[in-house]
Amino acid sequence: MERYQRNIGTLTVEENERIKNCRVCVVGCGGIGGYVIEMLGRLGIGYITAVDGDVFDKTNLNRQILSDDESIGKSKAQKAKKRMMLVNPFVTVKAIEEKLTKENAEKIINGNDVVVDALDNLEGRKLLADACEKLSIPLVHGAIEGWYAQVSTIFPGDRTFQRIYGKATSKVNTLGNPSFTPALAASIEVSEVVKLLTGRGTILRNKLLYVNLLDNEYTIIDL
Amino acid sequence: MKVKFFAYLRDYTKAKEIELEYCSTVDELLHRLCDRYGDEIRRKLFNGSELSNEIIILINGRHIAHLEGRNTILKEDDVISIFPVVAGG
Repeated sequence: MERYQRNIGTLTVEENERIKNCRVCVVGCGGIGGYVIEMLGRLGIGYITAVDGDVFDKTNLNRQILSDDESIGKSKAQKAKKRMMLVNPFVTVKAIEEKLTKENAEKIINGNDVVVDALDNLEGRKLLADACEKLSIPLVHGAIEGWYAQVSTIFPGDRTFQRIYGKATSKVNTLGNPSFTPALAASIEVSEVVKLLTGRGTILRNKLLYVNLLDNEYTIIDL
Repeated sequence: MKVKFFAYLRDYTKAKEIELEYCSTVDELLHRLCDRYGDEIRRKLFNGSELSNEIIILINGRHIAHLEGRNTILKEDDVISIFPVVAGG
């Protein structure tokens, strides 16, 4: 298909065919999540679940690709679905307009091949990691603040969040959320998803990629 | 011993890395850093008397969680790296 012609070389024709049947759940459709959904959909991941209970506000406009002046007050998850209908109608997006909770987490992610953490809070991240562990689904984690980003890929049993965040349940962001850092974290998360789905390359398992854009440093920490 | 600072911790230390006189444990080293750089870095490294959950400390690339935590014994030629974790999206 002409649409995917420029994927080939990066992916084989067979791999591109295979990802059309893959299911990826993106939890959070804001700064990181919007870009993740955009990239997964353009690649041709067949089924995307977009999860977010929030609506857009004006503070989102500096960075969130799904936001614009006309979408203020509207559902982020629904906007993800609408945009993908324009960008790639061959992708099925299921919009879930709910905040992730202990009660709904497993139901939401069940049946997916990979889950992407594009949340903005520790409480949600830990809920998501617990649900992924219970259902044996790999989780790709990404987070940003200011000029800094981190990405890790978590398999059931790895307990990676415990090593990154310890017992913390909340963290105040004083460094801001500019336009470029979420896009970077999203790109790296999507490449991890593609590697998980195709079995290619080296993933960031039991490792944390830490990016400092201010000083152009990319460090991999063994967790 | 060499101590490397990552991300915004450099705002407090005004340096990417420093040479520090020998400290026998991670705990001693962290307190030495607090004495040297003051309350701003103390608030990042500690939460009350507990080690902060917002930082990762590596000794020669190994997370102290796999060693003895803040009681880890240090050697003269160890390299200690301190990272703040991030959590926004």
